[in-house]
This record gives sequence, structure tokens and C-alpha cells, in this order.
Amino acid sequence: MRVACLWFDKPAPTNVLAELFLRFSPQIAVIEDKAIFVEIGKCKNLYSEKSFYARAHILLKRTGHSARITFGNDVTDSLVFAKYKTNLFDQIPLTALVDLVDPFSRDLVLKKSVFKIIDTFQDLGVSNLGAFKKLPVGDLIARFGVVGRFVHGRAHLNDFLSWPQFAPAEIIQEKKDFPYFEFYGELDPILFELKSQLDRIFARLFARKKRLIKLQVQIRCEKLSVHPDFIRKLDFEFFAPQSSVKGTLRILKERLSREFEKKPVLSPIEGIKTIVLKAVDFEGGQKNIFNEDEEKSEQLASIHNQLVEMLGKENVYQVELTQDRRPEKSWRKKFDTPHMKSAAPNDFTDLLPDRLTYICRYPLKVDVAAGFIYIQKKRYKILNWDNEIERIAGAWFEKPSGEIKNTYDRIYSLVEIEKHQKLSIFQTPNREFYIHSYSG
Amino acid sequence: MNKAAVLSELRQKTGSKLLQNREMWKAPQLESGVARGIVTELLGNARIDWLISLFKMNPDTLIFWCKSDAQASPLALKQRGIDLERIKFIDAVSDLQQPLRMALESQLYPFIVAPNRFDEVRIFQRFHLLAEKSKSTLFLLGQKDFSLAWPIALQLEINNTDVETEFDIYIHKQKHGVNE
Repeated sequence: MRVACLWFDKPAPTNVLAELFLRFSPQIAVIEDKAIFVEIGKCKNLYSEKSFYARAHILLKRTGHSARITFGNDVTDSLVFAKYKTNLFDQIPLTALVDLVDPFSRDLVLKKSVFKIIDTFQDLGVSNLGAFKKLPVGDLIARFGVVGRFVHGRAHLNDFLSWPQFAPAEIIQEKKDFPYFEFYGELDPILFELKSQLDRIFARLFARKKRLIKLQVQIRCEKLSVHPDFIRKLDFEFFAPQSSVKGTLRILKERLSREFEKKPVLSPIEGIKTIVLKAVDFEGGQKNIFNEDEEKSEQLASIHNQLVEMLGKENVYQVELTQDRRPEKSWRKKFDTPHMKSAAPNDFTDLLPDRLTYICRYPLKVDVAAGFIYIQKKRYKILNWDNEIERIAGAWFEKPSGEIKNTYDRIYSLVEIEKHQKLSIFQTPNREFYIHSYSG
Repeated sequence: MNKAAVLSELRQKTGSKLLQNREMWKAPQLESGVARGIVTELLGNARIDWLISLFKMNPDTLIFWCKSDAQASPLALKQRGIDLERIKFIDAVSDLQQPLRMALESQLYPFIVAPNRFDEVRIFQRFHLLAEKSKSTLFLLGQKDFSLAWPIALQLEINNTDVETEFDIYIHKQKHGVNE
């Protein structure tokens, strides 16, 4: 067994930080606010101690923490090496016996007994572990009983200590309070803070082999009577699972800028909290170096998200064809899955006459007389009129018994006017003419 | 010659000399093709048909299409051989600048189509820089007359002819890829 110990001189959120090391090994233990242990012996074919050291330093640097990293054959020796800043086991002070016997502080009675042993031997001039190890075990048993036997075993790193289970937090959230720093909804400081929160969140998600799909950002302002919306909760649901800060932050920026335009922040911001509401599994491992389809698809989903934030969901879409023959109903909007292939191919398009490229929002009534067509009171000469290229009628079945209002009966003609402008004009049973589409 | 005319002439010259080696899109009945990373303005009653042919000649590229009042018919696009999954439609009623800027910055859409609702040179200049960086070609569909903005590198008027499959193309301005 090889164990890496990360010892924090200043108190650190070890439970949160330990999650980041799940990428190295699932066997992790934590001493609250003080130390993280990672079993790295079983992964020696994946990375060396040297590379672990380098990567761990970078990870800690990103989170703004620093730790002393040491390696040992057990939790206890790696811990004492880190805590007492030496790799010479025998030179370590006798007080380290407490860490060797009960590193996770699980048995307070045992700990008290060990302190008594330490005091006794320090009085006798035994000041370090090297000297203690030389004492015969029989004498220790005679003087201190079973505790003496156990302490001797631990000093010789003989007995195995079970690792306490490490369970990562169920809810991934990051927050920061601004007790003194006052700002009134300027976007930049908020984005700056959100970036660092997202950095940490994505690192935690990566370690759990997950990707972000739903996120909530809470902005808490100072409570004032003139400011009813002092807590803002913004929910984000992404079209594709997110794995990068850059794309996600852009989406957040769009929403926040719109939010602050609509509802300005009227009191100082006190805190920002980001909570992961939903994450999905992904297959970790080596990235495909021969294509970037996955990255591209994530970028497309990200820009789709940004556009939706900016313009509204109904204004950003793709289309799919329908079976309806009416030109205005021949397609429908598709709001999700940007640039994904449709399941059912539409192969009926060849059966229909060629449609012109533009459809009018509303059919435009025109007059036709003596070789001319009058469009918005302007007269155009008709060069060619292809009669009855298509007849579209239907909808009578929608109200079979009542008054039939929704029926339609259109006779389409393809008309060419001056400058070879092509128009698709339909005639109603009342002999009225409407332009429905045109080339342009 | 006044200062504006001199500047305009210099811009034309530097544009055509510096950027002759640009990558080009194949384009129907335009031998030189359409340069990548430029702003193009199109007029005429067959411009969409021409554009669709261009998209068909350059498959496997995504298209970002900002709509104006009238809707380009998806069925017409499909009938002319365009895969509808390639196109993202945007209904931008008011400000088109932001979605266009976003599409250009993303570098994911080689073809961007939008109505030309701009008149400030500054805006065209921004589009020109972004297009150049992303190598996307921005097709602006003009209203009646060509814009005078210098960052527009290609201005074409495309009309129908007697022959169904042919276009009558009038090149009003072409900075890149001019056939010598």
C-alpha cells in the first residue's frame, strides 16, 4: 500500500477538497479540516508518485489552498511525515504516537492513555520514535497492558488501521458571502465570483464522472424595504450536459444581464451561491484524439443555450417537415437537440411541386386583370401563368357536423412577372387571388 | 480626387492584393467562388435560390439563418437538396447584432444569413473583423440598393433568367478572388 497524505497547515474544507481526488483513487479518508489521505499504490501503473504530487499541487492551487504532500506505506506514517515535516521516522518526536495510534480521533479513551504513555517516557528521557521503538515489548505490556502492546505495534507500523468511509456531499454547492465588499449588481464582480465557483463545481463533477445539466444560482442582496426581490434564484437547464466553465459562464452571463436589466439590484449583494440541481453520468477516460465531435456538439448546445437566453426559446429553433400540404403548415419548429438528425426522414418532398423560397407571413391579396397583376396598387406585367399546378383542399373533417369554417380550397398557380420574378398565387372558391410565396 | 475617394480606392486595392490567397467557397456560376471570412451583400429575385445552390455545393457545413418578416420555406430548402438539420433559424425581430456577433464568435457556423438592417459602417466593420477571425461568410440580404459600407467585400445582384437553372449575376463589388 502507498498512501499520499495532504496536510493542511491552515484549516481547509477537506471534505470538499477530497472529492477532487476521487479522480486518482476511490479509497480516500479525511481528517476534518486537517488532512486528506489517498491510496495510490493500486494505481501505480496509471501515474507515479511524482506525477501525483504535481497534479495534486495544481488541483490545490486552483482551489486556492496549499498543503504539504508526503507519501508513506500506511495512513499513519504518511501523516506523521507530513505533520512533522520530516521523512526520518526515527527522528519524529514521541508526541507523534497519538497520530500513529489513533489518527482519525475515533477513541478518546485510548488517546488519553497514549498521552499518559508519552508523558511517562518523556520524563524518562525517551524523546523520539526511534528510541521508543527500541524498548522491549514485554516491558510495555507489563507497565501499560494491552494499550502498551498496541502502541508498540503501531510504532513498528505492524497493525492495520481501518479507513473511515469517505462519502462525498450529496449536494454540490459553492457559496461565497460578501460581508464587507459592497456592490450593487455590477455584472463583472458577480461573473468573476461565479467563474471561480464554476471552476470548483466542474472539478468536483469531473471527479464524480458527472456532467452538469441543471444549475441554480442564488444571489442574495441586503434585505431592504424598498427592495422586494432581495433573493434572486435563477435556474438553468442546459440542452447538453456541460463540462466546461467557458460555455456555462456565457449562458449565465446572458441571463444575468437580462435579469439585472429587468429587475435592477437596489441593495448591496451579500452572497452568491451556486447549486447543482442535476448532473448526469458520462464515460470518463481518454478523449478521442481523432475527432472533436463531442466538443463540437457541446459548443453547439452551449451557443443554443445562449441564444435561447438572449432571444427566448420560441425564437431559436430548427425545423422539421410535416405531412401537411399547405405551405404555411408544411413544417414545424423544433426547439431542442440542436443539429441532431431527425428520426424519420421525410421522403415525400419529391412528390410535391417545387415550392418557392419565401412564404409570406400572411397571404397578400392581389388583383389580376388583362395580363397584369396588381400588387399593392402597383401594376406588373405577367410573363407566364402556369395554371392549377396544385390544388390543396381539406379540413372539412375537423367539424363534420357544425358550421364548416376551417375548410380551405386553394388552387395554386405559378406566375412569372417582370424581371422573371416568380410568384405562387392561389385562387379561392370566391375567385379571389392571393400571393402565398415568392422567389427572392 | 477627394479624401474619401482615395481611401475607398486604397481599400479596394489592398483588399484585392492582400487577400487573393484566401480560401474560397465554391459558388454557382461564380467562377472565383466566395471568399471565406467576409461580409457579402446579396440583392435580386434569385439570391436565395443561388444561396441554396451554394450551400448544396458546400455540404457538411452548418448554417445560421436570421429571419426577417418573411420565412424562408423549409420545404423549398429540402426540395433543393438542403439538409434541414444543418440550419438553425433565428427570429430576431429587433436587434440582430448580438445573435450575429455570437454566431460569428462561436466559429461553428461557416454560413450566416441575415437581412441587412444596418447602416453604420462601424457595425459592418465589427462583422468584418469577426468574420475574418472565424472564417465564416456572412450573407446579408439587402433591401433595394447596395450598401456603401466599405467592409462589405462582395456585393452581388442575382436574378432569374429565362433558363430555369441559370442565374443572371451582376457583380457590384468583389474584393477577393477576382479573376484576373
